[in-house]
Amino acid sequence: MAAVLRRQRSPYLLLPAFLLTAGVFGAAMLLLFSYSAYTFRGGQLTEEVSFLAWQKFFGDPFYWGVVGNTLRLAFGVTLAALLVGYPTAYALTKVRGRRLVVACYLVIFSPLLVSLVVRVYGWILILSENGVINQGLRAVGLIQTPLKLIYNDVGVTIALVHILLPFMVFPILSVLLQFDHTLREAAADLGANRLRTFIRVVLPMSLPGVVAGAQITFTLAISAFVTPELLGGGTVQVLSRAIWFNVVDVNWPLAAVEAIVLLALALITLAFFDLVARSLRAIRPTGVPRPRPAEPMGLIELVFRSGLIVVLAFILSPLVFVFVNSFNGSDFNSFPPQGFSLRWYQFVLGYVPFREGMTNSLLIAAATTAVAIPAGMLAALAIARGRIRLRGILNAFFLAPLVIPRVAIGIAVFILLIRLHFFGTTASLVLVHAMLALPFAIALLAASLVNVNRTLEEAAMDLGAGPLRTFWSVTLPQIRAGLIIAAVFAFITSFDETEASIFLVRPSNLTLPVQMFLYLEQYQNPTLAALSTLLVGLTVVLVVGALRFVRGAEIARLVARR
Amino acid sequence: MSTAPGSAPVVELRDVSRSFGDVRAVDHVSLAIRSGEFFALLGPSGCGKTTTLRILAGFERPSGGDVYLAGRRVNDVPPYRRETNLVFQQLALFPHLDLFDNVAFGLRMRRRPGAEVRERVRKALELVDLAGYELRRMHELSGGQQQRVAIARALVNEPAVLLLDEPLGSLDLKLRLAMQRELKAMQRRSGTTFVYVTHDQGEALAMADRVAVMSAGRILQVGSPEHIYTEPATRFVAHFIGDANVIEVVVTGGDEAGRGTFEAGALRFSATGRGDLRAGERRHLSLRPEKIKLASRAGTAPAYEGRVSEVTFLGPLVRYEVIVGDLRLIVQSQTEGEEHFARGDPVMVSWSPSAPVLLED
Repeated sequence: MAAVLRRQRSPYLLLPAFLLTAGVFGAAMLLLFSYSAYTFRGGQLTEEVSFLAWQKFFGDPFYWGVVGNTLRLAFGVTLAALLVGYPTAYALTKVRGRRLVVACYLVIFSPLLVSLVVRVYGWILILSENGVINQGLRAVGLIQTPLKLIYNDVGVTIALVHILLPFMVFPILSVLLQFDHTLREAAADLGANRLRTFIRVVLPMSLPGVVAGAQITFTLAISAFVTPELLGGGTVQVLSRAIWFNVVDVNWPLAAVEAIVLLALALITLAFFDLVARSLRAIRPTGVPRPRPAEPMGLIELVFRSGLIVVLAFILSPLVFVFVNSFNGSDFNSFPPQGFSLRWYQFVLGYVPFREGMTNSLLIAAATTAVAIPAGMLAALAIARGRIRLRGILNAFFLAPLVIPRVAIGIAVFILLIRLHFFGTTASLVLVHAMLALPFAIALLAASLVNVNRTLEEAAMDLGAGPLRTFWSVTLPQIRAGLIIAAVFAFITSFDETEASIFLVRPSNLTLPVQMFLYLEQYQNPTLAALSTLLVGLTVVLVVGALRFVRGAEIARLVARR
Repeated sequence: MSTAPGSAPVVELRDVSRSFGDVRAVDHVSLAIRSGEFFALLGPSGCGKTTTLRILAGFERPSGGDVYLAGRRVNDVPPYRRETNLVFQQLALFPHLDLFDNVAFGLRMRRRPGAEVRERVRKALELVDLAGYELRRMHELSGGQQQRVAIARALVNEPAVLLLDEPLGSLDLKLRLAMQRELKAMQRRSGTTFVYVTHDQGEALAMADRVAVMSAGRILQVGSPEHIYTEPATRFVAHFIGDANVIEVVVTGGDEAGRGTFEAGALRFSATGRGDLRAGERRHLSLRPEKIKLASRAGTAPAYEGRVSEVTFLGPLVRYEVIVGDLRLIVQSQTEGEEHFARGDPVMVSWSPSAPVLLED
């Protein structure tokens, strides 16, 4: 099948992925638009068509303020992420030794493997009045009264930078890794010292990566929900929270308007950055890039290495303190922990809501993987192999669920499911999770397929293997790395999914992240620390177990290609 | 160091070595290159010529020995403070700058005023015949044009020495030959010292004033193209430059003037060489194919009986393989004006007494 992709067959391969995305996502979005025209009057939702919600939104300066806050926060986060992320990416290009490089990648990626709620909880531990930072500074005598680092813009910014850092680092790293070292030599030959070479040659040529990183970071920052909700203390008024409030109040028309505005902001952001990227398109390398040779340890290298260690520590710190706090003897999230106790673990293992949540999440995640991987595989085959017109649009279409605010997706699908009387079913959750996991699956699998040696497939066919047989025995083994990583990603995406699922679960099938979110809104004891540690442990086991089947070289190749 | 301009070496390598781990890439190399010279470093892949060039540019530090540029010891001087400019093999043109900015880069690094930059870039582009292309981006240019940008970018800085690392390797044959002529003309016009690395012996012979033949990190011979061709020093040089018959001989006699007689089986040779010749010693001679004459009948010169084993028609020349005694000799004749032979024909083989060259090894 892979090697004999005729023009007529290609479009059919796309069908499952297309249905998933178009069916769920497209229909939901259309419905969302229509709901914005309904009326919410006297605490009741009616089907009367009016544009009251729109008028309310655009007429009230309060909402303009909310939009302004959202953009301001996102801008601050993106800038901070850039200032931290660029040097980090640069330092990563200097790391030698494949094991060390893969380890660094894993650390930087690790926040994505852990549920949002866990990460937020970790920051609560670090930033609160009695948290790690304040206790530490007080102990050293630098401050008297605690710094207000949490339940305000500061805490939210720090936490968002932490979460979005990988999205800034990887595009920049990807571009820097492809940088031709010979250009550095050419600049030096023409009289530029190291600093001037960086400013005049390396930096300008890395701008496409910077733009890509800023684009993703900004888009994800404007749509963040859990972080401002849990860390903002009610003072950080962003659009996603407004949506949440209005959904809870059943003022769905207004929520729909807000979701549409959020969507519009995201699209405008994407378009803007795309324009910037297009103007940079002239920066195309000529010839085969030569990587940077190993350098002896000088002062600059030392500075970069130390900086990298600091950033890696920053990335790991929430998880570390969550781990430490899980053994806290006291009832509070105090630092340093008072006493050593395992009772929180006991509590977690016995707490029925968590057990049920865990079961639900595992089932749903497994089902999601079972849906997303085959659909993604077929779509990836069509995109990578078939001759399809409009490949660009197709790519964008499948990427859409990634960039559109999860909250907007959540509410849109929520409305759709209510209308279809399909709300609250586990199947609906699986479909939504699969739709969210699909972009990762398609991207990873398409990238793997590109590396496959087609001649082997031809040899198999020459020896009598039909298309299906060839795919099974020749193509699949070659994309093993991508397949495993895609499956792990799909599983984890589903398992940790919070911001859309919040809208879609019913008390009977609450997923674990949603349980954790609700718990964290109410209680502030180390229970969540114990649960988080267990979850992180599970994730690590899963990832390490999966990586056993994958060689480091394959990962490095995959990462570098992106 | 002599003070007469044009005769003082502008580049000097004194016993320079460079090792990478166990590998001796450059092995005790000494060179003196005169100002205004077109100097070629010639050798097969891996002989150390590129490493030597990079040592001159400042990208490699010698493990031993000293490098002098215009009389100054530059071992510790970084590339951006040397008066050399390198034309890279991969060109290394900056994709994010247009043609003008690429060529102007070095001048801007030295903070030359805008008017001067514009004027010098204009002249450099005229020199390489790219006037009017200032706003082009690098990917919009053909291979030959990119080549010329790389040269202009280096030459515009008026370096004391221009270093070129196999600059014509990626061009097709016709373009390469045209560029060779252009580069030679450019060098004459600008008067800059060129150090040119290549593995193509035809290229080196055509362009250079002097050639250094390298192998395994060592310099085997330095001389003008003609000298290297007619009087190769070693077996390697004889084989590398043009075609050669390298014949293993035994010394039969020699005089103090260096003139010796040799034999290989039934064949007798005489040649002049350096150094003492002891009877019974095993030595090698080089005999160029075009210096061997074939005839159907013996003439006045001593001739040996042989048989033609292969004939290759090359247009203006014919190449024969002839078996004479135990030797298989390669012979080159003109198509026009000389006898033709076919495979299997018996021939009389002769050469002038001054034709054989005694090799050092």
